[in-house]
Amino acid sequence: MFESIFMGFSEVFKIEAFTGLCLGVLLGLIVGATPGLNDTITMAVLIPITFGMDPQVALLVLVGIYSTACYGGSIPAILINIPGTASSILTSLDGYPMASRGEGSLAVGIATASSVFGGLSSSLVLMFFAPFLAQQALRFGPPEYFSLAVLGMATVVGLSSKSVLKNIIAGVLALLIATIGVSQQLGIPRFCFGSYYLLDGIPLVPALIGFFGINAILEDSEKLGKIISGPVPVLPKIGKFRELILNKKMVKRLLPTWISSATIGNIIGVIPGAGMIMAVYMAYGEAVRRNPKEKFGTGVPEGIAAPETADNSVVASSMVPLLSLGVPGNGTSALFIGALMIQGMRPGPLLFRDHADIAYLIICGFFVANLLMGPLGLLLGRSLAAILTKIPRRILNGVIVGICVTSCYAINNSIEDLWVMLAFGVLCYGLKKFDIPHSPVLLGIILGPMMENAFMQSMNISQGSPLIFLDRPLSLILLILGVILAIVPIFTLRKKKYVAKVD
Amino acid sequence: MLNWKIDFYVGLTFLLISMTVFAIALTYPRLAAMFPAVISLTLSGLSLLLMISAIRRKNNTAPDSRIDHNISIVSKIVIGIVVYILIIKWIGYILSTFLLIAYTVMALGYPKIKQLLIVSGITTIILFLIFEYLVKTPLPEMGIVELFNR
Repeated sequence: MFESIFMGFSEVFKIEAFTGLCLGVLLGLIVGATPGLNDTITMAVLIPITFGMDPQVALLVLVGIYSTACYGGSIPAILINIPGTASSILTSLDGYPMASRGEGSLAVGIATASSVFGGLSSSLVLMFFAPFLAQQALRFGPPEYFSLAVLGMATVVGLSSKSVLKNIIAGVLALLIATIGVSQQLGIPRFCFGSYYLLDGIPLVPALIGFFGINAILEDSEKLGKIISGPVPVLPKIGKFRELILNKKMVKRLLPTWISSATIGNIIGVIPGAGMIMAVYMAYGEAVRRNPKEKFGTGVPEGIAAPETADNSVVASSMVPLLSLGVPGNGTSALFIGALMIQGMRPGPLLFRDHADIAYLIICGFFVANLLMGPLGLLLGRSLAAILTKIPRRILNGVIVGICVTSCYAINNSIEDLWVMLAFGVLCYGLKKFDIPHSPVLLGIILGPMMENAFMQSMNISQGSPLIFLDRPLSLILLILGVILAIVPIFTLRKKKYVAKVD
Repeated sequence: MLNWKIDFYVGLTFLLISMTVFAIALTYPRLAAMFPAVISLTLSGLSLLLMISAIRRKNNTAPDSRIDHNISIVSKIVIGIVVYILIIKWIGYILSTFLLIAYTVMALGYPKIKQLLIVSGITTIILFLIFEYLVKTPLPEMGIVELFNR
C-alpha cells in the first residue's frame, strides 16, 4: 500500500499533472465563490472536454474542483452573507456577523483552516481505510437511512437559540414542501395542481439561489433603503495575509470542533446518498450542543469551524464507496464514474487491480489539493474582499441580482425556475421577518424525499411493523442519537430561561 | 421577541395551510397520502402550540418588538424581478438583464446614472459571454424579433 501511495504522489507532482490540479483548485474556488455555480455543474460541463486530455491531468482537474468548491462558497458567505454553495449556508450564520464587526480576516482564516483540516482528514480516510469503510457503508439499508434522516432533522431543533418551536416548525414546513411532486411509491402527482413542471418536485438549485441570493439582496436593499443620507456601510475588509493565519490559542480552541466535525463529515461522506448538507447540519448541531455558553449566530468561531470542517470532510470520503465498490457517495462523486469511463476505466474493486496508478493518483490528488487550498483560498479571499469593497454597495446588489437570475436560468433553461427562485427568496425574507429560521427549511427539503422513501421501503420490508427501526442496532443507535440531539437544546433553553427568571 | 399578535397570526396561517394540505392529501391513495398527511398533522399541532404560546405572552410585561421593515424598497426589487421574468423571452436575455440590473441599482437610490448604465452593460455582457460560450448554456434570444421574421 505504501508503495502505491508513494507512486501516486510521484504521479501527482509531475509538471502537467500538478498544473492540472492547480487549475482545478483555482477553478473550484472561483466556481464555489460564485452564487449559482457549483462543482457539479462545472464538472458536468468539463467531463466531455476531458475526453481529449491525458487521463492523469483530466482526473486531477476534476479532483481539484471537487476538493475546493465547497470551501470557495464560504468566502462570499462571510463577506456578503450570500453562500456560494449550499454547504456554506451555516457558515454565513456566524461568518457574516463576525466579519461585520471587523473580524473578517479571522472569519476567513477560520474557514480556511477548518476546510483544510476537514479535507486532509477525509483524504487520509480515503487513503488508508477505503475498503474497510466501504464494507461498513453497505450495512445501511432503508431503516438506517430513515433513522439517519431523523437524526439529521433532529439537528434543526438546536440551530437557533431564539425559539425551538419555530425551528421545528421551519423543518416540518420544509418536509411538507418536499412532498410536492410525483409520489415515489405510486407514481401519482401530489400537490402539482396540473403543472408538469412540478412533477419532479421543487428544483433544489433555483430554490437555493432564491433562498440565499435573492433573500440577501432583499434584506440588504431594505437596510440601504433606510439610509437617506450619509455613507453606506462598507463591506467587511480583509487584512494582510499574516492576519489570516490563526494563532495557537485559536487553534487550541477550535481543535475539538475540528475533530468532532471531521468525524461526522467522514462518516456521513462514506454513506452513499447521505449528502454533504446533512453532515454540515449535524456538525453544527454538535458544536452548538458542545458549547452551550456560546451564542451561535452572533459570530462564534465554532459556528464557522464546524460546517466548514464537515463539508470538506465529506469530499474525499464520498469517494470511498465509489473507488472501492463503484457506488457513488453523492451526486458530485458520481460524475467521476463518467470521467473514468470516458478514459476507458470503471470504478470499483477492479480499478485497484487493473489501474492502481489511477486509483492512487486520485487519492493522492485529494491530499495535495487540500494542501493547495489553504494558501490559494486565502489569496482568493483577500482578492475578492479587495474587489468587493471597492464596488459601491448598491451597484454590487444589482450585479448580484444579474448573476442570480442568469445562473438560475442556466440550470435548466427554464423560466419556471426563475419563478421558484423568486418565490423562495420572498419566502425566506418573510420567514426571517417573523423570526422563523430559514436554515432548517433547506435541510427539510433535501431530507424529505429520502425520509419518505426510506420509511415506505422499511414498512414494505417489515410488512407494516414500525419495530424494524428499533430491531436493527444501527438504526436504533441513530434514533437514540436523534432523540438526544432533539431534547438537549430544549432542556438547555429552559434552563437558561429559568436562570434568567431567577436573576 | 415579536408582538404576541404576530406570532398568533403566523400560527393561524400555518394551521390553515396544514389543514388544507391534509384535506388535499386525503384525496390521494393511502400510500401516497401517508407522509404528507402525517407531516401536515404535525405542523397543525405545532401551529396550535405557537398560537397558545403567543396567547400566554399576552399579559407579559416585557416589551415586544414590532416587525422592522421597509416594504417599499423590497416591493420595487420584487416587481423588477417579476417584470424581468415576464419579458425575458420577448426581448431576449441581454436587453432584459441590462434593464434589470440598471433598474435594481436605480431603485436602491444610486445617483450616478451614467456609471450605473455602464456597469449594467458590462456585467450583462460578461455574464452572457461566460454562460453562452464558456458554460455553453443557450440564453434566450430576442423572441419578438423571431415573431417578425416568420
